[in-house]
Amino acid sequence: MDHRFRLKIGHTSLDFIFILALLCVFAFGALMAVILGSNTYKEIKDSMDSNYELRTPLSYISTKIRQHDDADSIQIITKEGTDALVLESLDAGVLCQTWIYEYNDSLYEVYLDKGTEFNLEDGIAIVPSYGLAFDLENNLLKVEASDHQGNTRSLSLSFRTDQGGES
Amino acid sequence: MKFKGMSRSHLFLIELTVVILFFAFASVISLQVFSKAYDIGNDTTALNGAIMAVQTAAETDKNTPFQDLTISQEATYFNKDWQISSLSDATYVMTSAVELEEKWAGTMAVFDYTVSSENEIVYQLQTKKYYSGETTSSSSPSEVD
Repeated sequence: MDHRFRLKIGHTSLDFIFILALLCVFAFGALMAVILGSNTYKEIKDSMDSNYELRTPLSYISTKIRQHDDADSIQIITKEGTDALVLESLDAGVLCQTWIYEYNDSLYEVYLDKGTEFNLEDGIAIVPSYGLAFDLENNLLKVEASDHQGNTRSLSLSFRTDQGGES
Repeated sequence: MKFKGMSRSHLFLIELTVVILFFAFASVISLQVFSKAYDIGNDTTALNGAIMAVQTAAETDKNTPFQDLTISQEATYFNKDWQISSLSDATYVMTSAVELEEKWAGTMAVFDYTVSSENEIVYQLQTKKYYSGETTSSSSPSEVD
């Protein structure tokens, strides 16, 4: 009787340990899947954010340059220590300027009559931007953008017309 | 409910095994999806970088006077962050080639750009620029092997 009782206890313990082990495997697998999934998601998100932060300002500036590619209408002016791309256009007989610059981690734009006084914070934030540099040389505009991780991408744009701006 | 010859622990064991099998199956599918998404993310980053590099090269070539064109195939190397690097640190290679086609009133320069990574083409672009009044015989661009 004693012997049979001991066997029963041993069998039950074995079942219990096996089930517990399976539960542990299940929990470990679930944890690993969640960690792996979150890491992958984080990397994809970082990569997408980086692409967005690098590509969008450069594409925006590229489009603006194409719209304003008239002779001597594009120049780089430093205002309050920040380099700004200044695009001139004759709208309804009035000479207007579009200023594009980086301020407060964003790409800012302000559109005004030429000669109007303004401050950098008066512009409108367009897209996030974490570093923007312009260089105008030999009728070739080099724009360099950075993302929040410090990665940089540069884009060169050649003008169809002659530009007399200086960098 | 009682099952003949089966204790409650056996039933629980079977249930747990089924759950684990189902979970393992779902995990395998999820991991495949994660891996594919990661690859697509990397491909997108590479494509973005390649477009920027090719656009920069194309714009620079477009700005080049006819006399300064070099008829050659050039390779530019980029590291994984798309900064120009040496061959040893290169992850991406951009090859650019120029061909000149004689036209009746000038010369058409055809620029071909290919960005590749480990023999896999990431991005290709062909651009053309017409040099009016310029002929290869009148002012021949330098040729480089």
